[in-house]
Amino acid sequence: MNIETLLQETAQQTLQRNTRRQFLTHCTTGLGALFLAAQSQAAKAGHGAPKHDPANPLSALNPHYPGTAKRVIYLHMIGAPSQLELFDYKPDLKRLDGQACPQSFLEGKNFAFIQGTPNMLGPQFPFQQHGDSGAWVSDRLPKFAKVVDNVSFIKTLQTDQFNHGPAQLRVHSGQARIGYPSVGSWVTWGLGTENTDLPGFVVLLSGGRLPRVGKALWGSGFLPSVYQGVQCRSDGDPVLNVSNPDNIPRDIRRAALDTLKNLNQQTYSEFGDPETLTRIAQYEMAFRMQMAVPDAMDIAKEPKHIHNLYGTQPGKESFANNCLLARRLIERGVRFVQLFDWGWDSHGAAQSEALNGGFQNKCREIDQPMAALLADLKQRGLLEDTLVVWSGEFGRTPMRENRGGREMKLVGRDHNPGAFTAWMAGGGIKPGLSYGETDEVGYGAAANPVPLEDFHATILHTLGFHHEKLNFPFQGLNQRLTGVKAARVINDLVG
Amino acid sequence: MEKRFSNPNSRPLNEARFSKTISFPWIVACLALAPFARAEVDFARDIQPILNARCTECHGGVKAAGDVSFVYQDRVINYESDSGYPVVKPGNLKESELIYRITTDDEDDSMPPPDDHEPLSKKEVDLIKQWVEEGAKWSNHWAFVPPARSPVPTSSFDNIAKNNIDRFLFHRLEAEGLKPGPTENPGRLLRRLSLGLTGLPPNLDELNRFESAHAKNPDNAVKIAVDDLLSRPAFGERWAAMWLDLVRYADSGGLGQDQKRTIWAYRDWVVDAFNQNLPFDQFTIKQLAGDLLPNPSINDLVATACQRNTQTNNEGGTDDETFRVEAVLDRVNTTWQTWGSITFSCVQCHDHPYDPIRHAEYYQFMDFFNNSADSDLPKDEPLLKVPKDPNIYSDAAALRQEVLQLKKELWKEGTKLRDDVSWTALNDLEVTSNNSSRYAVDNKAAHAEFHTVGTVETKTHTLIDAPHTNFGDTPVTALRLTVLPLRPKTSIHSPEWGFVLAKSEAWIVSADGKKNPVKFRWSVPDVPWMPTAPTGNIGPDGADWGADSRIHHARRLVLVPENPILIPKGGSLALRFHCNKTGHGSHPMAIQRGHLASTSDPRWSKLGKGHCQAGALKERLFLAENRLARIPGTTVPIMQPRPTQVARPTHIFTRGNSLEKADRVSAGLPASLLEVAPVNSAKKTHDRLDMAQWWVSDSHPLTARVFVNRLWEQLFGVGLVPTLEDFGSSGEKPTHKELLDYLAVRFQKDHHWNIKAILREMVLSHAYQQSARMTPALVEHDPDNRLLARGPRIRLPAETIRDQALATSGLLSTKIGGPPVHPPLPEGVWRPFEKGDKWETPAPNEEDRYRRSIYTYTKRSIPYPSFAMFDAPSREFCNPRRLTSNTPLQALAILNDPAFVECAEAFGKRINTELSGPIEEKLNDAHRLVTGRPANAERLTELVNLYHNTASQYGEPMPEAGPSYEAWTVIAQVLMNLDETLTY
Repeated sequence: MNIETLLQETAQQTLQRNTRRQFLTHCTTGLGALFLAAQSQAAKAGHGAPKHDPANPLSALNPHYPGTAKRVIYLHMIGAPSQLELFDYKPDLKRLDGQACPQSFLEGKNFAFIQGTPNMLGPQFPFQQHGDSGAWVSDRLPKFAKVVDNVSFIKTLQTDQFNHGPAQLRVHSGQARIGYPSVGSWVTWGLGTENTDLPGFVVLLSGGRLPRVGKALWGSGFLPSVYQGVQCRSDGDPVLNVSNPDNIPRDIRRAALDTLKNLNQQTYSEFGDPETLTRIAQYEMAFRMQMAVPDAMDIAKEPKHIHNLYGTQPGKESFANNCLLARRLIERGVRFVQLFDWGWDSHGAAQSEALNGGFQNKCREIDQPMAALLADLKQRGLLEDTLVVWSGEFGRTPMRENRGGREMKLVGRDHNPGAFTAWMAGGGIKPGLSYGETDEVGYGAAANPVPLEDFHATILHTLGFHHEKLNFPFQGLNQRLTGVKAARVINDLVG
Repeated sequence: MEKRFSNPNSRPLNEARFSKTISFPWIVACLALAPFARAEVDFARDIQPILNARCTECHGGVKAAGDVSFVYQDRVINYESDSGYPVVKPGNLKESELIYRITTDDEDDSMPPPDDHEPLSKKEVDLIKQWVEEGAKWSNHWAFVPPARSPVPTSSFDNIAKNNIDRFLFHRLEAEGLKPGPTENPGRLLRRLSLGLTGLPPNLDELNRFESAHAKNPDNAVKIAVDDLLSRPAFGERWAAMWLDLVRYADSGGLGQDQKRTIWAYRDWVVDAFNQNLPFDQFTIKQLAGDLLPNPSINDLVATACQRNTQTNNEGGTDDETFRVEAVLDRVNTTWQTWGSITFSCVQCHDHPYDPIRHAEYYQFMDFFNNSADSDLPKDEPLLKVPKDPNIYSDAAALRQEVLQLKKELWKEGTKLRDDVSWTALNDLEVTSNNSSRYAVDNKAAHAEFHTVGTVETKTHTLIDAPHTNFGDTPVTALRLTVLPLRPKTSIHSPEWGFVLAKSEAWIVSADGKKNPVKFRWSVPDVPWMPTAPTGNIGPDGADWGADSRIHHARRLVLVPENPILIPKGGSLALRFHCNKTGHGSHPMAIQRGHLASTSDPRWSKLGKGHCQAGALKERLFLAENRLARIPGTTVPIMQPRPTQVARPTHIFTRGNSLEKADRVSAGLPASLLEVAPVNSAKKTHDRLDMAQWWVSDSHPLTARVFVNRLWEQLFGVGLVPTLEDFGSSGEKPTHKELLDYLAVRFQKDHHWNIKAILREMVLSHAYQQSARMTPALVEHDPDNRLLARGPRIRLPAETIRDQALATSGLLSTKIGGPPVHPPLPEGVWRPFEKGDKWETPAPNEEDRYRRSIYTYTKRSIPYPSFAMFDAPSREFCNPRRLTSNTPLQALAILNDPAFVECAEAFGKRINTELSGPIEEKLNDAHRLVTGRPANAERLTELVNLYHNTASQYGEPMPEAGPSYEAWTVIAQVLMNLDETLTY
């Protein structure tokens, strides 16, 4: 039996079963039996739980209502970049530079490292307004400043976590603890993917170390594991186990898979278990993935002007390469591409991260690729329905860090959950806006605070999901990305 | 009926209601499977499912719109809700508001609200009416009524029934018009039994022996095989894997840093408990409260590490108390999930939406766990030394008891004196610090009380100067330091960061400012032992003293100088209390409030000196501790009760928020369950041990059912209650309630919680041993195989997939237990945050490279890739059921993951060199190794052809001429990836 016949049979089985189900209002199973059990669990929660083809849990689905975005690229700067040196311009803070921090800022606050009474620290770089929108951007991001009219800022994002691990989890899964689905998993569960030869949810790291809570940032939590992010690497095997062992060439693997298919087909004839058919289909999909993934990941195929645009160097693990990869992946139908850059924890405790040190290199590393990604998406007409999100996991203090209670050699800022900046572009987000205002020193929200719940609700909204209806029962609760607290979509930003 | 007053409050949240409409077909499905026509309506069976599906979202435990809740009997029967009418008046349709609401045409009154809800079906309405007419008898949800033995039913298939399990199943099959399947092929049967009971496949010898024995006397052959399998050490390893998912075992701490945690002695305890067939009641009590048993053995204490598998957070700036509370909540939720399959976590924020469990009862239960000594400390203290040599367990336990006893006696000696002597409060104190922290002193009537003002820095030492006027010419024989929380009133329920005193210094200051140091010889803390590291010189056992990490109460320490102190006129006594510990990186753990007193009682000068009691005790303690420390072994975090004098009070958290505390509660169990299963204890207040014993008490309705259901699910692929995680009224009903109850009673009462005995009955049933073949008609009728007209066919769990590959390739090590191991890992996966946490894979041929999967190092943030791929949970929380996925990444894992490739190469080599005969024979035996049965001619031809084609492509000689390693690897890969190989 060839693969087409097989897939037809799988589809036929599904159809039959679905018809049967309607008629018998009967408990169900069949292909992906327990997967269906999970579906049924979700159906209990009910509110618009996605109903995937059981033979293909990544089948493309429609959301609750037509969304403005069809896919997402999320750029996370691990370590929490300083909003005060990039986007949140605070002239008053400049005037206070070097003065002792008022006690009212310190009382009842937790800091990772600040002790005693620190001094205020003014913006370290000059700011200017750019484009028609007049957005303030510091001189560290000159190329990004040129495309800034495409994006809208949220200046008052707030979290309740001031340590990296829990805060990153909070940004990606809505919870500060490991074990909850990441936003990419929710979205892939909700929408499936448009290209089953590639994973639906891809994670790209700029190299360096893994974020400290590791894969939990792209885990599927209690959702079926098929929705977890798949880490793709620009160096080495692009997806775990996607390359054959050295001594097994592709034609021999094909021959082996043909035999395997024939033997499994016999097993199906004998035992009649629809799960066997699914397994045959998955092995075939794996074989195709072995071609499709390296192809998608091979940026060397891009023309020179594109490399010039992004500043990419094929074969390197870099943020620039990942931006280009992100475009290639979403072009091929991947639903959610998550980028992690690292090295943004500017405490001033080491040269590599200090505001007057490594921070500036980090800015240079992201400036061009970030701008290129927006321009490239736009020129291909992809920005329209691709949501691009940029954020860290919290903000940084307007006070200068004084680790151990002493002035440090280098300049840095401590963690600040009270306000941080994110930007969004494309996917139906109104461009050129700035939402929320921080206080005069950028320490907390003065107007329109945006808790992470609202941020998540807004992302889901652009994709066509009502955040309360996209839920899954676990531990006795209909769990959702936005948690149990009330959340609202930031209507000012969506079309 | 005339239109009645409609209450606006009864308008429910529409969305919330909608879900239940969707779940309704599932309820019908369960009803549809129930074959028997019923005469009388039973509330729990017939009515409650309708109410749960259609009403309780708004009229339940969370929300009681219009003051109507269908969860509690007293809120329904003759209960006048906001409408002013009884919700249900037994025997009276007309006066029952419920009936009016579900039958009226009035859009304002009709329930469920007609604007976006389907009305109840006629059948449902009729059932509810019938129930009211019949007197509205309330009955409890089935799982809250203790299981009872039903008469064993009969059917026309009884001639092939092997035991009562079959009789229950067959009776149902007959009613459904189905019949049991034929017996499974013997080879496949042995494979199913082996994988089912031990997680490992049979080898060729075992297959040969079994097949010939089976041909002579099938039943006898099976019994012999089963008894053999149950007695193998692999049995414990297989069943421990199930248990470790529930108790969320991992070798790392989770959360921020996910640092390495040494706790494998507990994993070995679980393996051993299954192998020794520790009765489930003992298994339960030891894990919940082994530390509270009289004279606990080392094993009793290791078992309590079950509770220490909770996550901890060691990241800078995190709040220990927050994560201590998180861990305690997790213990509550995990206990209820593991032993009761009740979604107790619902009750953390509000009354249970469906089941009769109140919000306050959550916190009463939490109190059982709230007073253990652990508190999210970096080293997972308190720790137990577990000797390497199990033969000295009893010596080590005795030694540990001796140490604890000596500490207690020594402490009593000191505290007796402390409470006996009269103390004089010190006044006119001058209090400063070594840094920017500032103190103020309030000269109160009783004593001068000092406290911090403003921001406090870390590593604050408290410097106190007490002038001569306090002492006059009386010599000081002891000083008493009292430390209080900065805000004593609020700290009792919302404890503050505490303090750890590492060193105390004193000087006699003369009038001209000259300082003369005073040496302290002895100290008396207010608790006999604390879980802090013995690095300082404070306690009599040389440990630091303080409130680590939180302070709720006043704490007291007595310091005894070497010689009585005389303060010269015009001079003073200067003290320096060193507090250097920082709460997780940045929180100052300083003395924030306190006062001092002194005494001149001469008895202090003798304490601990010469031949007195305390001196001798101290010497013995020193020796005993040294001996304990020298025993070679590992450590394990354990449960240890916190001293009662520093007990933490437990409060209800408003809406589950630990920062919003409501009434104080004391330990207790949910009233609705106590009704059927009282606590068997004479004690006035119940402790954790009473709670543990309660779970396995005679009439407990949940424990035995829940556990046999887990065993059943592991063997048959779907539980008798399919929702393993929910036995409450919103979970699925048992497909065979009488069988579930039969098994529960049999397990608890007849077999006295003997796990192997009940498993033996399950696998000896015809149901387990029948063929797994499905016919289209059968798939149609019973797609999930809940009725068991065919044998189970389930995808192997993650661990078994790898263990089987190791076993069939001949690589598997059978070594039991020990520290976690690091099998081959695909490149680029291991990038832990903690740099010191290395993944060092033993070289090829080293035993630890090929250990059973249960021994693989389990890091929560970096799960072993092939396990994660095959749906093993990452163990942050209790995981009651694994969902099985079927994905392309799984295919890639078995085909290309280096660990599996190594197995394929070894298996290929083994087929070629160890299996005998011509190629067809070799391939046939290889096929038997992975599937249990011979390959038919068609399959053999496929494999032979592949071999020849591959071998020729590799350009190597035909097998007659010599070995062809790569082609055999390819063959091995095909065999390892067969659907039959991955399934049993």
